[in-house]
Amino acid sequence: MTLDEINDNIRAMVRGLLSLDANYVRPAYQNAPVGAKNEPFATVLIMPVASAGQDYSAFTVDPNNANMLKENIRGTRRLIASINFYRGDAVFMATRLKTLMASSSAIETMQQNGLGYIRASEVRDLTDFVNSLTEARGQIDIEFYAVAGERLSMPTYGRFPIAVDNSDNTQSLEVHEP
Amino acid sequence: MIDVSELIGDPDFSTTFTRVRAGGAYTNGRWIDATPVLTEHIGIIQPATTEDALNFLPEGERAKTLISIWSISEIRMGNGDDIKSDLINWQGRQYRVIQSRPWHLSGYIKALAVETGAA
Repeated sequence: MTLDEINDNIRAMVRGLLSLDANYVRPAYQNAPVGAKNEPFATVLIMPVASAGQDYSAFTVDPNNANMLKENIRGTRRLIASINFYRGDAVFMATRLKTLMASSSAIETMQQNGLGYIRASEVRDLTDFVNSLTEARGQIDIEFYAVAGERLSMPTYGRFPIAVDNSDNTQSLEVHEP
Repeated sequence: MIDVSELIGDPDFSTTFTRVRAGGAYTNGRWIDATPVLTEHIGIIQPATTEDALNFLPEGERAKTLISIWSISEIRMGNGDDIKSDLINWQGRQYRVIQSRPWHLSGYIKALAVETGAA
């Protein structure tokens, strides 16, 4: 799962929990206008913050090509979804989300998407002055685990003879592909 | 006020350029750019002054070419809310509008645009 896909999943969850319309919750840092001045919206930014434990790799033979190996590397990552609400009831929306993140449906939704919910931060009131007017802004972090995986394909050795000579005898061996 | 729009369109001073007006819409929260609308316009284009470059470009951007455009056509810059800046194609290069001053009473708009690459 890519960070983009995680972003899609978190956005869909936030939309569902708060019953928002499709375009309300957006990925952060898009090169795009945010909407008319009175139009509230929210952004989601996914940030990997730490690894948990050690990554491990396992080898399997490629079922389609016996001379190729597949290396699967997997590791657990701790991530934060920084969710910012802008305009309107921004702080109230963040506060509602904090409460709703404790619901069984939120945790189940994350689990269905392969995300292990850890905690939601306290709500931060980041209300600011924009163009001489006050703009309400509320922010909350949702912390969770996800599994990072990479699959590499590599050629294995072929079949070739090896002759071992010593003073007493000569022994021929053959190395087989695994 | 003296209306100088006739001077702005005088072929002795003016040149043609293409205005690229971007559009788009959100789909499931992701912005999808629409096909930009390209229109031909005339105006006077000159390299911007060093003062303009110092005033309007951040330090790391000052090596880029900045042009001044005087035109009777509307040239708009993004407002951060619902409008994206116009792009100007001129002599094989593309420029992004970073300021637009409405001198409508004098019959023209003066814009500043910074080079972004090949048109």
